[in-house]
Formats: sequence, C-alpha cells, structure tokens
Amino acid sequence: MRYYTSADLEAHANANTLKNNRETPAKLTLYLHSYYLTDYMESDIPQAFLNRLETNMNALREGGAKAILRFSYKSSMGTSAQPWNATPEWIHRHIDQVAPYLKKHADVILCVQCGWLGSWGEWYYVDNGFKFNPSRDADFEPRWEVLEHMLRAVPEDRQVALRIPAYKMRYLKMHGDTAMTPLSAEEAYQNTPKARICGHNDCFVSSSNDVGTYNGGNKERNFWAADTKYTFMGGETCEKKMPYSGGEYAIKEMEKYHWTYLNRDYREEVTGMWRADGTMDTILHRLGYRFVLDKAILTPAPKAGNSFEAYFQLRNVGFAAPNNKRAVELVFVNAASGRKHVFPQTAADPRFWLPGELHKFTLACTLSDMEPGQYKLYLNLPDPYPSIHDNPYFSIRLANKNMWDEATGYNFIATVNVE
Amino acid sequence: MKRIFIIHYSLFIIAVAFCMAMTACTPNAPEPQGTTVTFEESDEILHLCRS
Repeated sequence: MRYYTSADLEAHANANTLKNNRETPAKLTLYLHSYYLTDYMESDIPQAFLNRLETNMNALREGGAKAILRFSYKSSMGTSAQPWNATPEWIHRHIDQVAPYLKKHADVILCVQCGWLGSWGEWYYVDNGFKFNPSRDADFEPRWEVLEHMLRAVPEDRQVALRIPAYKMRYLKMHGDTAMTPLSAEEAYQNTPKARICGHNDCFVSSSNDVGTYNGGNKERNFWAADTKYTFMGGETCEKKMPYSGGEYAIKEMEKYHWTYLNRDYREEVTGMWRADGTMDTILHRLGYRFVLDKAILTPAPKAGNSFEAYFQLRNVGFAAPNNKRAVELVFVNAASGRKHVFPQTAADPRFWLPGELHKFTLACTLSDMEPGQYKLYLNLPDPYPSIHDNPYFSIRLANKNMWDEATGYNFIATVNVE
Repeated sequence: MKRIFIIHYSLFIIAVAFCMAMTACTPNAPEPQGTTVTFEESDEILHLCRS
C-alpha cells in the first residue's frame, strides 16, 4: 500500500500512474488516500475538493487499484497545530458532504478509516468538543456519534476502521472486566457495527505495546487477533524499536492479526530494514489473501444438459481472508465457437477461505444450453460490483503456475469434453 | 453383572456415535470420484485486487 496525502493526490493520482505502479516489483494495487481538510475546519468542503475526490476514485477504477480512505484535519500533534480537529457540528456536516462519494465509489474502496478526530484522524490528540484521554462513558459519546455517522455514511458492505482495539471493545461494552467476545463466523459480514468495525494499527511493531495500541494488554491483543479473522487490519510502523521491529516478529504479528495492507514507505528505517533482510519479500507475498489451488476433481464424461460438479482443494497461504464480498463462477468456453457459459456459485463465499487452512468445496451447475464439444473450464473470482465485474484488474488470480488468463481474469482449470 | 453390561453397552454406543461423528465431520472424508487435475504452486508476487 502506498500512502497519498491530499497534496500527493493532486499531483499523482491519475490512472496512468496507477497502471504503471501495478507493474513495479511490489505490484501496487492499493493506496491510502488521506484527505486533510485543514483549510475547511469552519466551512463547508468546497466543490473543487469534492471534485478532486471524484477524480481520484475514477482514476482508481481506470488504473486497476483500490483505496483505503481517511479524512482528518491535522498532520501534527504539536500544540501549535491546535485545534487538532473541527467541532462535532462541522465534522458531522463534512461527513454528510463526502457520504455520496463514498456510496458512489464503493466498488474501489477497500475500507474506510474512521478518522476525523485528532491529529492524523487517529482519535488520540483530540480537542474542540472531544475529550482528551476519555475515561467515563459520557466522555466517549461524541466519539460514538462520529463512528455511528460514519457507519451510516460508508456503504453497508464496507468496513470502518478504528485505530485501537479498545475503542471497538468500549463501544460494544466489552471493556473493563466484561467478557470479551470477538466476532464469530456466524456474526461476520452482517450489517451490524460489530461486523463492520475493523481496525488499523499505525504503530505496528514499534514497541512492546505498539506505542499505546494495546494499552490494555493481552485482552486487547486477543480481541484483535480473533476479530480480524473477519475484519480488515493494516497500517504502518511509526518507530524502529528492536526487537519488536525485527522482520521475523513482524511476520508473526501480521499472521496473528491477519494483515491486509502495509504502508511500504513509512517508516523507511523499518521497511528499509525489511527490504534488506528479505522480510519484505515474504510480506509482499502474503499480505491479504493468497489462494493456492492444489487439486480439482471433475465429473467424468459430462453430458450436455446434465449436472456437473467440480470439487476443489484450496489453501490460503496469505495473512488474511478477502474481507469484502467476492463472486465465484464456473466458466465454460467452447473451444470451437468461443461461446461462453457462466455459472455463478452463490453458495461459495471466499470471505470464509481463512488463512492457514485447507478448504474443500464443491461447485455445481447444470450444463444447460450447451452444445456437445470441447470446452475450457475456468474458475472465475471476479469483483461482484457490476462496474468492475468484467475487469480482470479486479479478479482474483490464484497463486498457481499456468492458470491465469490475463485477458479475462479467469483461472484455467482443465479442458473438458462435454458429450 | 447387569451393571457391567450397561456400562459396556453405553461405552459401545458412545464409541459408535463418536466414530459416526468423526466420519461426518472429518476433513478426511472421502473425495468424490472423477477426473483429477493437480496444480503447481507459484512463488510469484501477485497483483491483489484486495477484494
């Protein structure tokens, strides 16, 4: 993931840049768009700024990338930078202004960091109507109003990230001695705050408690470790502090907390160290999902008009599951005519293809409206949004040799003779 | 004697139930019959659409 501020976005976020970035060794396809509204703390966001947001989202779609979004007001924690955020009234007004753009461009949004409060939108250095170091329930109320407004503003199928696990636990009344119940498989991906609140860690492996990320110790760590099986996690380092910043420890932490994205540029003294010792190569292989297909067993001698089954064994060797919706399709392409037959598999849900596990599943269809003949069979994992469903930039490529069809975004399984 | 029979019979039932549950739930359930295709893993860094 590359981090872009408002100024960077003005200069660099165009489709050609994004297409070129896809071809770099890191194969960049993800950006953090961090919008600073420093000049609009007591006014509406001007239309020109909103137009820029629109342009940037369109560039993502054309350039084959997605973004994590964050809105905030200040990028410094110094007292001279105060106020660190706008008042609650202005924040709510600004959320209403950006909400239509979030809904319109949900297809190219990975998730949205809750932001708005405090320096960098990290909810720590807050003022101007929000309590610094909150402790009582009442202290948190203005924060929860922003969180709930963001949950309404962000499309229902996209998650909203909070900076530390304690915020989600407090909001869900799991703080103190209350039992901690992270998201279960049954609760995952529902339209509830519990399922839609994810996390981000912007002081990853930067001290024994990631510089206050885990002030509550193991309970908070255990919560995030379990919760992130079904929610997004990512961020950046903020300090080099050994042994915590060491590469092997970082990989273990990314496994434990199911990391999907990392700011590759910050801090350079840490990410540079990982590049030098080879850690970054492992990270680039394993961030997010990485699906390896081991085996398929297909119905022998299938007949036109009859049922067909394909049994698959697939491993996810990445750090995380794909936490947004993902379609699954069996595609038959007639070798002679090129005619395509697509069979959507609505029961299959790759969001549950968790890392570290072998997944066995059967996809089935009826070969109706198909002529006898030779067909190429593909497994297609496209984005479900119609705007990018047929764009191979947004289809999942399996981590196997000789399977990927670059033109269509399909994964080749076998040649099948339909009788 | 009757008590011993009941204990043994109960253990037998539990063992049968356990085996049935294991057969139903085990990830090593028999694979379907059909045309098998195997695939080779790639070590390439991939473009991720990040869903």
